Parts: sequence; C-alpha cells; structure tokens
Amino acid sequence: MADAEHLEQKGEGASIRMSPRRALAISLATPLFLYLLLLVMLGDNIFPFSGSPQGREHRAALAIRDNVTPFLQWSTRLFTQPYLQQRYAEYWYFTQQSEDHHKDEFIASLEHALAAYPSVDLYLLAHTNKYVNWVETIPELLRQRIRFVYNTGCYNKKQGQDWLALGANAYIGHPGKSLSPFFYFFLLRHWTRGGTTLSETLELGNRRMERKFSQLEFYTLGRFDAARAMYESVASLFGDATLRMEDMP
Amino acid sequence: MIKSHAHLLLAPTALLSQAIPAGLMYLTPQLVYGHNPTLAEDRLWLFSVTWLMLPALYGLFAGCRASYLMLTRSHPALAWTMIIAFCVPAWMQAVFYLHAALVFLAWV
Repeated sequence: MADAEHLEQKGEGASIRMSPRRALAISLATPLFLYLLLLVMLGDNIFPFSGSPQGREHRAALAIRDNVTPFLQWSTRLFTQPYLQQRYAEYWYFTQQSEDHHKDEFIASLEHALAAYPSVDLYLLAHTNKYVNWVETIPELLRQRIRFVYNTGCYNKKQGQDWLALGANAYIGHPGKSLSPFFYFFLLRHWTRGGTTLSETLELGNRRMERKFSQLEFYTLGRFDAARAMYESVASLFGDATLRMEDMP
Repeated sequence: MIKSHAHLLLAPTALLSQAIPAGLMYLTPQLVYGHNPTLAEDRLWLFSVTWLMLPALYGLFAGCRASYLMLTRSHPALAWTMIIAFCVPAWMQAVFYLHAALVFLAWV
C-alpha cells in the first residue's frame, strides 16, 4: 500500500501531504538555487552562447601541453579545445609525452599558421619551458605575425622580452612557482571572448585568482598561504597592453 | 507493494548516476594518455562532454521527479530525509558536472 493511501486511511494524508504545486516549486527551485550557488562560488561571469568576436577568419592558435599526469593533460585539452575551435579559424593542439615530443610538428604547424594567417596566438601550457628556442628557428618575417603568447610555465615571466624580440606583440607569463591554472581559466574565457584589452584581462585574471587563493586559505584554515601563492603566480604583461582578441596588429 | 514504493528508489538512482562522471573522470585520461592508449585523442572531447552531460541531466531530472513524488505521496519526515540524503547531493554533483560540460562546450 502506498504511503499516502495508508495515511489517508488513517485520516491524516490529506492534511500532511504537500500540494502538487508547492512540491513542484520546491523540486525545481532547489537545484536551480544550487546551480546559482555554484556560479557564485566559482566567481566568474557566464557568457551564454557568446560566439566568436569578429575577425575569426584572420587568426589561428597553437596550444601545447607538456608531459604531466594523464588527468591534467585530459582536463587541459577538454577546457582549451572548445575555445580555440570556436574563436580561431584554425588551431593546433599538441600533448607531449616527453620533452621534445611534437617539436617538428609544432614548428611546422606554426610556420603554416604564420604563412596563412595575419595573427597567430600561442598558448604554452607547460611547466617551466623553453619553447622560445623552438620558435627562434622560424624565419623572422613570419615570426612578426605572432600576436600573443601566453605561457603558464613557472619562472617564465623572464621570457617576455625574448618573445617580444622574436616578433610577438604581447606576452603574459608568471614570475615564480606559480599556480597558473587559476589564472589561465579566467584568461582563456575572457580574452578569447573579445571586447577587453589584454591589460584588462590580466587585471581581471589576477584579481579573480587572488580571490580563489583567499578562499583556499580560508577553507584550509590558513595552511594554504594566499599571499605567497599570489607573489609567485601574479601574471605580468609585456608588449601591447591594448591588444584585443578582435584586433589585427 | 513494490510498485507503490517505486518512487522511493528514484532518489538513490539519481545519486548513484553521479558516480558515472566521477568514475570516467578517472578512467578517460588513462584511456587517452595512459601507457596503452585505446581512445583516440580527437575523440576525447566529444566522449568526455557526453558522459559529463548525460548523467548530470539524468541526476537533475531524476532528483526533481523523486523529490516531487516523495513530497506528494510520502510522509513528510520520510520525504525530507530522502531529499536531504539523496536528492540534494545528487543535485549538487549534477549541477557541477552540468556546468563543467557547458564550459567545455564554451556555451557559458
């Protein structure tokens, strides 16, 4: 016998059962509330179906992930690929299994991209790296088309001037043993959406990364040092701070 | 008897379904980037987004239906206990996986 029928037989059912309308409201509103709570906790805007900023046909991108755990390689690709696919005319994504893995393919793809598109962005999603040496081998005339380079590598902020000297218009890197994925999450989503300059994106990314570090410090009861993490991770910009995704230098 | 209590089983299935993304989140990277890759890298994205999205949608739907049925058919004490024990954790995980899938689709 159903619970409700049982209660009704006892003469209690009608009074304690919830009305269908109220039950429906609770059942729909609770998950919606939980989703909104999640968005607040994540601390980033949402951009429903924002599409691609203008000039997509004029730009291409390359991304490379180094030899880390399968989970990190998987999650980096899962996050990065749709943004590159949606907001660049063409993109190449490499996942390395050793230090010089995909070197020839990377250089060949970059040369192809630089020959075919006026603007090419690079996403170097790797621990302390020297991809700058790979790119040196590309003819100078082609290198001038490198527009923006983002490097997640620890201690790779110092490569900023090297990348500008190679021909890049702008470079963002991190100074120390950084927790750059926190910054990269905001950078990729906001920069590729267009409408904001690199300096605005940099400021937003650093601010929101700092907020995440503060939350971590709070949740870990101070075991995580937010100030130290920020000191090591704060991203710096070299080159054209006014560059926007839709610009063609 | 079983039929009349069937709606009580829906809430645990909503929660159980959320183990699928968690399990595949562990397995998929191994299938693609492990020592013996068996899943092509270019299929990774579609495969991953699909198994994030489907259990999330099922978890949300089943949780909502279970909550509605329990609130309208069962004793309030039982209904609220089941909702707090099963539906709320299922919803929390489902909205997380749903949002992740939407981010990985670049839709939000």
